[in-house]
Amino acid sequence: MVISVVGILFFMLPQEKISDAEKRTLAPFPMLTKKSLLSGDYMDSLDLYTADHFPFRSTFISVSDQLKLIRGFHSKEESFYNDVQAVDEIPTKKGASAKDIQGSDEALKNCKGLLVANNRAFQIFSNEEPMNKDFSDMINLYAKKLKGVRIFAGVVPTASDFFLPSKYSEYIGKEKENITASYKLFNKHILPIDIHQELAKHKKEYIYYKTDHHWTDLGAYYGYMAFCKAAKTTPIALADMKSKQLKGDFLGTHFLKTKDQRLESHPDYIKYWIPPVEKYAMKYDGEEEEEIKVFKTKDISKNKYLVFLGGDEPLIHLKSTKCTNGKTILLIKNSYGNPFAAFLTANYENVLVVDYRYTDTSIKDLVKEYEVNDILILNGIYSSNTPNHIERERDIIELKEGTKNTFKKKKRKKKEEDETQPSDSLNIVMDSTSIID
Amino acid sequence: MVFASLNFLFFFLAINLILYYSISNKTFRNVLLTIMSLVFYAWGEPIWIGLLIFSSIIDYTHGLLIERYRGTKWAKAPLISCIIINLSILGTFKYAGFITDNVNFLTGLNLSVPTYTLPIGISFYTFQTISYVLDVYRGEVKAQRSLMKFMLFVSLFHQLVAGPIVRYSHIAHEIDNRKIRINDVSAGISRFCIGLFKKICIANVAGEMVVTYMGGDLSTLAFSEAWFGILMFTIQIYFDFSGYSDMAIGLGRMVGFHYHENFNYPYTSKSASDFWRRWHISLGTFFRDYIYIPLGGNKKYFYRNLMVVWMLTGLWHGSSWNFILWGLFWGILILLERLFLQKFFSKLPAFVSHIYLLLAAMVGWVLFYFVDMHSVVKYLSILFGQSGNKWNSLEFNTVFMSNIYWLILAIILCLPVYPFTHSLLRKSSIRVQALVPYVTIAFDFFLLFLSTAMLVGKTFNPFLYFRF
Repeated sequence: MVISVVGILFFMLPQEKISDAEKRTLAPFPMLTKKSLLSGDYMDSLDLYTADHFPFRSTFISVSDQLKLIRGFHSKEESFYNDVQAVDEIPTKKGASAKDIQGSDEALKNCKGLLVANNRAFQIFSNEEPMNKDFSDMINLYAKKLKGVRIFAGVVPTASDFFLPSKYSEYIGKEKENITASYKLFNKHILPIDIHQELAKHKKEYIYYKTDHHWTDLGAYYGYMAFCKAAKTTPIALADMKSKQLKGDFLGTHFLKTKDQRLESHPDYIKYWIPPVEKYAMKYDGEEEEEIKVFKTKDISKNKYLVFLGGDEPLIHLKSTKCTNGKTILLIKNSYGNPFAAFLTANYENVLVVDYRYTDTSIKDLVKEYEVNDILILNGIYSSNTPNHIERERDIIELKEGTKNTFKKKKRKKKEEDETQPSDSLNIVMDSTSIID
Repeated sequence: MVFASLNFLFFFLAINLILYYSISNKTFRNVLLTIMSLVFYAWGEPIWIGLLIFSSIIDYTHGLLIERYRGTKWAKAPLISCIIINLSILGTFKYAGFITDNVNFLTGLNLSVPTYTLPIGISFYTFQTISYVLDVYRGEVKAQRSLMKFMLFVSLFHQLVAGPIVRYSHIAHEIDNRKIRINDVSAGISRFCIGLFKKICIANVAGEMVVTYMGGDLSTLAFSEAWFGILMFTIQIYFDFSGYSDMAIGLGRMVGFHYHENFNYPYTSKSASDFWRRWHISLGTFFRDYIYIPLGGNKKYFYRNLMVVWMLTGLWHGSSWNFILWGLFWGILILLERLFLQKFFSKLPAFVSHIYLLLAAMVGWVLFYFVDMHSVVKYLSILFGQSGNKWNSLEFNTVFMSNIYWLILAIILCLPVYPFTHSLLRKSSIRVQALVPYVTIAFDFFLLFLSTAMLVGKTFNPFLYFRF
């Protein structure tokens, strides 16, 4: 008879329309139409309605969540998160050109989720469908389209090749194999940078964050060393630069996605070295230009990785305080390039930093306008295996001189809207949580 | 409507029981049950309710005709006509697509394939009515004279959508004479709650993992994941089906019907023939009594009879080749057992036979699950390590561990724990026995509470019998 009591309660208790806990509107009472009745849709909606307005609903839901937890044993050492892929895998910066580069569900094809072990998060690289051919074809296209410019290309691995406990190694694809496979397909005009080897030499040092998918400034410095080897130039020594450390802890994207307790209790910190770079750089965003700080130390509490160049911008022009050699390098990058870029001012008078995801300018135009000597295309392991990233990098080299990508206007408009409205804190966090860029 | 839904539990069933227990007139009770059953069916099949009513009227009249001409040569005509009508209805709705597909394939024609959906429960109620007319013809039961009562038999919501296939002869007496006994009611409620728990807390949970592992990309499925996937399907289909049967039996007892058991711990069997004496018993006995034995049983044309019955058993489960293969697979195993396997296994320790049966059942479920042969072959090749896929995945280890207690519970519940507990209690002291009713009530509440929580939490809740 208890079931009838519950049935009666259903009608007596006040009905809520919105669930605060789930942040969604609850199913309304369905409208009866002949069509919905005959197709059975009406009955299905009634079922949803009942479930959404059931007496003591929140209690039942928490019981059901608890039941899920007690189904088995949850390791204290390790956790596996496989639903993180669903979260914002395409970089969307302030809602910018995301739509234009958003390919399909195939983004992050080779990422099988996150593993938290040893208080560190690892992206699980599967290498089941490597994109080496597409990637190197795209890089080779740069050599074909641009003459008289040296072209360097590098792929940055993630922490897993260096720090993953060996017991998991049989399950996770080796990033090195994938990177080597791409390099082998480069034509003779491309100068590959062996970032992996250089990082491997320093794997005892703090080269990767534990709670974020990026390399640290130190990791980026070793990447720069690898570049200098390939470019046959002398790197600036670490000891010759002043270092600083940001106040407070840093909890990166991996933490934001997993909310894993172990990551929270083992936060990162951000330490950076100051190369001979002018304190202010020029940022170009379409027709507008603005001076920005190379190391942004204010208003970055939501995501401290923004300390490097203040985040991702279509084009930033860094100037060296030391070099007067008149040389210019163009760095085509995603967020892995942000800590890397400034080190180049030790060897180049001008460093142009282009984020291939946000720029709408033809690379050929930039090469001409700034008299670029060297180009470095820097990818992460995931972007070098993700179709829409490769496509985007291909687009900007295929663009005819003097033409711009059409998404530009839409983008600007959207951006203004975002700036006038104080955006939701969640959005700000999401902007920087893409785990491939 | 399905049993495992909040609207059924807290509205339909509640209203049904309150009204039923407040009416004392037998006829009104039957009328109430009939109306409620039609509402129940219309809830899920608002259009095909007409077919159900049409089919009942046909069978009802044919039953009367057979009885009228009993003893004369005319009695056979209505029997044959009734079987033809029933099978044509079933053929049209269930097998038309399959038949045209195959005709197109064989002849190269391009006939349009009918696309209407299969009316829920059609295989169950058609078989019930066929068994009815056959029983009337054989003189085993008297034809039902009241259309309302006949409709009650056909449409009774307890077993309408997912079985068991109730024979008219089993409940003919109870349609007119049934009493509400407190023992029956409480046993019925207990049985229902157990069935609900089996469906929602075991089958649905397993089903969610079946989707992940069997329903995903087979080219990257690891060996361990494939075995886990098929284990999950093995668990899902048993708990779902037997859970539905438990609920049907429980619902029946709440209002005084006693249906026959439909499952008897099939995974504890030692052979294929044993398995089919314990799995979906009402279907097995139907084929035995109405097809296998009339064909000659094991006395005449044994091999033919066996293969016909098993092919039809397969086909009953769905209109595609994989179900036919699945049926033949069991038929061949039963044949091999008769020829030599049985003797062979009897010399070995019992656990070998158990392992053999479980493996056979799991391989069988692969055939049952995948409609296309390509996937069947691929899946089997992963299971037997012939695919070149990796052996294990990182993800699997965590999923396995985070469900381990649940898995152990599910495996234990495949064993006859319920009869075991009962016999244990029967042997216990009087003091303990006095507590049993209270503990049972508390336990029922507990199961109902857990199932409700899972339903409100909107966990995965599939309906498996849309093909039957």
